Amino acid sequence: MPGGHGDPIPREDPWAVLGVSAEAGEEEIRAAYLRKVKEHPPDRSPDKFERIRDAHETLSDPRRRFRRVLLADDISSPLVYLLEGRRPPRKYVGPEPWRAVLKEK
Amino acid sequence: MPVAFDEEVRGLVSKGNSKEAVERAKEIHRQVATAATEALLVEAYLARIRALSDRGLAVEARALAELVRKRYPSSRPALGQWKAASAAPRPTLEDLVRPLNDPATPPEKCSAIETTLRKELTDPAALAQCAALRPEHPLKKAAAALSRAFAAATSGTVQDQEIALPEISRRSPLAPWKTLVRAVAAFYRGDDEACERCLGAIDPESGPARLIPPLRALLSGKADPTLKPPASSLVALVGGHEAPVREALRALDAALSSRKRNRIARAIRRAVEECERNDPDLLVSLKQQISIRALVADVPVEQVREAMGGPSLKDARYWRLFACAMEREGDVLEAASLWEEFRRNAIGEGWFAAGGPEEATLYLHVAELLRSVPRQELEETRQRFVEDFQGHGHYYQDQPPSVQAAAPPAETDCYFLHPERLYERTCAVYPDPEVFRQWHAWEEETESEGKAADRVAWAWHEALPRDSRPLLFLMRSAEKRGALKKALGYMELAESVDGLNPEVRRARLRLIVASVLRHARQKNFRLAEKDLAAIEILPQVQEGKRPAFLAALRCLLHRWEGRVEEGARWRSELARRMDGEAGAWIVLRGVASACGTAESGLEAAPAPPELGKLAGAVAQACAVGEDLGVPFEIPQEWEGALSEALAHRDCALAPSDLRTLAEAALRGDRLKLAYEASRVGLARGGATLARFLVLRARSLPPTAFTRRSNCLAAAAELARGQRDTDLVDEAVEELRGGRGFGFAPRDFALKAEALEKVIQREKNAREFPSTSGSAFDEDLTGACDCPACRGQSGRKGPRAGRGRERDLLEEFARSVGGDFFPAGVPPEAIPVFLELLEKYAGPDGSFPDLRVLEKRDPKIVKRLMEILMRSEFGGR
Repeated sequence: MPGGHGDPIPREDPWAVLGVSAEAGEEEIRAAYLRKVKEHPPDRSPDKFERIRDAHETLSDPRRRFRRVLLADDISSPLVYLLEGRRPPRKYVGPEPWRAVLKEK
Repeated sequence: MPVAFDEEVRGLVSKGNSKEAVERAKEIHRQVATAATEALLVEAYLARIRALSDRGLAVEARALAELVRKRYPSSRPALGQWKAASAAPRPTLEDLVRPLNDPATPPEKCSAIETTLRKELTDPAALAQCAALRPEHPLKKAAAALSRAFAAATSGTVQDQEIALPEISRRSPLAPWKTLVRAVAAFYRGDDEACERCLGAIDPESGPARLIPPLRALLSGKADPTLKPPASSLVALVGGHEAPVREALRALDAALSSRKRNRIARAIRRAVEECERNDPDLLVSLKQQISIRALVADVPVEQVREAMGGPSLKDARYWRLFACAMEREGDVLEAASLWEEFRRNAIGEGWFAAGGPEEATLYLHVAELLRSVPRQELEETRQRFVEDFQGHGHYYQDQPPSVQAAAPPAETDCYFLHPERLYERTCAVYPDPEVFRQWHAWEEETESEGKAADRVAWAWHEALPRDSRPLLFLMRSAEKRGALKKALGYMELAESVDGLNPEVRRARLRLIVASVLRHARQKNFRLAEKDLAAIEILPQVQEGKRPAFLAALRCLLHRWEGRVEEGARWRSELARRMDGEAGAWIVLRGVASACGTAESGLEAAPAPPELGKLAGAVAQACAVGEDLGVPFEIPQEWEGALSEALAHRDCALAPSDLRTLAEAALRGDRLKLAYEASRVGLARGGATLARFLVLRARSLPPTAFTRRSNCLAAAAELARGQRDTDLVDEAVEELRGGRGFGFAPRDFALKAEALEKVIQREKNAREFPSTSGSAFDEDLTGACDCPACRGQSGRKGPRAGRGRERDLLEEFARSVGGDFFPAGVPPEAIPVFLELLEKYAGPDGSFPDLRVLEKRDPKIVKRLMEILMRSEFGGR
């Protein structure tokens, strides 16, 4: 069964390799895979193709995908990793602070 | 001054190019320097000052005027007039737009008014409320709609139709405002690309362009020091401040590393406060991280809770984090219990459904985690764990009702501590042949009688009836028990499932061979002859060197029944089939031994053939035995000659023969010979490299476990690349403890650089490692002592077993005091020492005091002490 200990977690983030979000469904993953393969066919860029194929294999198998989710938290990383890849929240503050900038001479 | 200069500068001014006019006038004045050129320069400066003032850059205009006034006194009258004029009140919005009410206003004037509006309007609400413009004027209506859209886009989520603003055309003076509203909406929607596109489309001279710099700063997430206070304030209000949070998290990391409780508590307080202030969405996961990290750092729970201002949320994410942390700490049983909490909570929170592939993955993960612990240690620690385990119910106090609802029942079934029960659950959810195989392998190791393993194989067969492997397992198990009839039954079932499978085809032959051998052992030659006749009609018996095996059987049966001539005829046939006496003798000796007779008493060993043929003959003979399930041994008296043959540079043995030789050597515990065979195989390289790395690992002395692990990890990595899953499994099973101490790293992956290093090191290591002395005399790093590797590491000569771990272990020994490491330290303690080394050794090899270690990691120190106390070593 893929996803066991003998099957190590690929070092690369498969979602990043295929350029899809963590919430991407099967169809989106497949479309991204085909797009990437077109960009990097095996005869022209075999290394990239290998990475793309590995990423697709990981994401198209729900068990492999879930194993990545299971081990997503790395307690040994510095705490600032919590901020990585994370967009600060965008707060609605009403028009006044925006108008203040517009009125500034 | 030439008239041309005068005209040139004035021409530039009249074209509105005051900046260039100043530059040209300065150049002329530098060259000629007369009163006329100074007057021309002052004139150009005045034009520039007016231009700045007209663009609303009053501060810059005033600064330049002051500079010109000081440098050129002749400019003072003209500058005085400009100052007086600029101090006059500017026309109000009402005055500006009033002419637009009058239909007779010339279009040029209307256009000029609109241009001013485009540049200077800073609040569309002011235009919407402007009394000078009649209520039905389109511009007033558009400004009102724009004002509403702007307020909506900055106050909450908006739909596209809310900000469509069809009343504002592209030519309208309010067009840049319409684009701004779209940019703001795209920004909040998270569509940064669309936002950037809109910002690029806004006229930089227009009023709303003032919002471009803060919006770009918000998009980049980086601080922009050039922003004016209102813009900085807007960025802070909308996007929060990441920098203080980042700084507080760094401080908390440093505090956790220091392991000073009060410092940690202070850092927690600060991090939580900064997060609450600047990034409240992060607070829940931050608190969870703090809880777990502080727990690992041994900070009292109450202190952490007080510093955080309350408990962290005990949801599925928390339990996952906790389980990962305990895995990392090496507390496998605790981690298994925490993964169970995660499973229940995750299902409750809808991460995945019960009975799905995710749950199966989780069960398998925990089963494999448990299997990373040596079996005996697992059984012992599990018993103690279950005695002390009271569940994790207490964590759910002070939690929101939704989390409390997921609290575990008072009575916990500790199924999660038993690999076999986890495998059973995995297979119930997802009947995967690989999981069945692992489960079967686990049960096979558990008990010698193999009843549990047979039950697993039967469950496997029932779940996956088209898979012949469980039937072959059942067949072998029955064969081992001597239940050959039952074994034949399973074999026939396997034939009906997959008759073309070579293993199944071999199985029938092997089973009948086993039956012949049994009857021969029982001296029931009549039945043995009958079995032999049944074998001879099988088509597969004619393949390869199989007829040689039958010839050996025939020869022995005839001899035992006193038919000497017939026996001699079959003996010649055997020699012919094996291409010589050497191979024939090994086969005859092996078959006789399998029939329970020492054939050595019947026939003396022939003289070994010449070196060039010896290895091939032995390998072929061993292959015959392996093929028919009767493993032969290498004659002890030929071992030296075989080593010599393998060491010979002309040794041209095929990889399959090398492998057979190595396997036969390993069966007889002749590690040196197996090592030699693996050396020849490794030197060949190519596709069989991974296979020979596994053989190299198996041929190492049991104490060389780090080197062994490296070889197996490298083999697994190569096999993975070749998609040889059987070999990956074999390497992983070996790593899990097929031999040695049952200690294996959990991540078997090797980086390309490390992989290459292991391969090169093993290829260069020609000499079998020394096995003399204690376990610690072996080089535990796996670094070989060949001249090439010594040269690379800068070592001058053989290390005589003084490896890095050895040095570090001795350092550790010194730190705990006394004669801590005499020879004979129990091998099962080595992984624990290494774990301590990995976690707590300083870069210079120093160790904390044992008392400090006990406080930091009581579980591991306790485990070490228990092993030492149990052993003979500890009793001393």
